[in-house]
Formats: sequence, structure tokens, C-alpha cells
Amino acid sequence: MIFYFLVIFFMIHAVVLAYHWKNFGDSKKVTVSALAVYLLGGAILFLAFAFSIYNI
Amino acid sequence: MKVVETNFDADELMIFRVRRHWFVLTIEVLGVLLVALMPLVLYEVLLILLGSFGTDINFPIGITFMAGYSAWLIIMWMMLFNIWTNYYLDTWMLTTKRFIATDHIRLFNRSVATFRLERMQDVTVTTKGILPTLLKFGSLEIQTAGEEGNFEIRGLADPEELKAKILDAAGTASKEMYGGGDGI
Repeated sequence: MIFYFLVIFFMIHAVVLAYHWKNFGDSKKVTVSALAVYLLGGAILFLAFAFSIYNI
Repeated sequence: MKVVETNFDADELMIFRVRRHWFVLTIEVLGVLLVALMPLVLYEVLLILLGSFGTDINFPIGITFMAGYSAWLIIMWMMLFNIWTNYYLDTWMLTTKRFIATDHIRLFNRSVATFRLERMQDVTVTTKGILPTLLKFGSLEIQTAGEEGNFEIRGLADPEELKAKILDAAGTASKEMYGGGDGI
């Protein structure tokens, strides 16, 4: 339950950040790179979270 | 800033754009990293305490902690990007006609203040402390005539250079407008 709540919260946060970077940022390259890093880092952390929950 | 740049006059050019000093960002990031590491310390203390009392634990504490800590790190990851977003979207822009201060307070909360260079009255630079002096950052206060009031920018990289550029641009703008004196 917490896992799904966090996934939804994280995705909404990612959309909000992307909206801000796209509309108010000065470089498309920075926006895309930041979003890629954010999603990649998040994916790794969610994998660790899912792995731990699965093994409890 | 795409939103701001689309409002430029036809003959208006951007001279430069500046952000806060990297040290300001580093301090905030270090704060988040410290908070992110705190559960590890608490976990070690908990293990030592449980060991010293000889408490028998009949559930997998290690993997349970890892699940909780992963969730904690996800939240810290989001906070880290909030901080970076605040840093990245807080910009100050000098054009041939205006000074534009974009203050990104937090998500969905930002203000854009603008004043024309010929309305500028005074620029004050303050560098307080050892680190700001060594790393060349400080605050810049701009006094303007009329309704715009004063602008204060804190944690700015190389404020002395910025001051020189603003004064230079203001002098040029005044000459163009009044065709003579520097107007400051």
C-alpha cells in the first residue's frame, strides 16, 4: 500500500517538476537531463524498496 | 526564462543571466544528505541497545529497516530535486533595458520583479563572513525610484562584477533615454 502511494506521489512530483523546468527553465537540454537523472535515481530506489518489501 | 524572454522589447537584448553561488546549493544539499543518513545512525544505535538488553527479536529487522530506509531515501531524493529546482529557477537577468529578478520560492509559487535600468538609483554589495569573502559571494541591494522599491538578492556569485555590469548597463540605458548624463 505504502509502495503504491509512494509511486503515485513520485510520478505526480515528476510531472510537476517537469512542468516547471519546461516552462520556466532556460535550457531544454538541462530539463531533459534533470528529468532523466530524477527518474533513473527514483527507479533504482523503488527497485530497492520493492526488493525489500518482497523479502520481508 | 522563456516566459520572460517572450516579453522582451524588439530592440532589447539580454546581457547576462546569473544564479545563486554554488556554495548556497551545496549547503542545502549537504543538509538533505545529513538527514538522509540519520536513519542509518539510529538503526546502529537501536541494534546496540537491543544487543545490550539481550532482547530477542523474532522478525527480520534488517530487511524491514531496508524497506523503510528505501522509502525514506525516495522522499529525500524528491527533496533534493526540489532544492535543485529552486536553485535552477531562481535567476536574475540583466538586459539592455531592464533588470529582471525571478524568485522561485517553491513549486507553484514564484514572483518575477522587473525594473527599468534608468529608474535605478543605487547598488550596494555586501560580503559578510570568511567563506563569502573567500568564495566570492554575497548580497546585492538595488534601490530604485518609484513603485518598484528595493531589490535584495542574497547568496549571489561575484556580486562586485554584477554591480559593475548593472551600473554599466544603466549608464548606457540612461544615455539612450536622456541623451547625455549617466543618470545615476
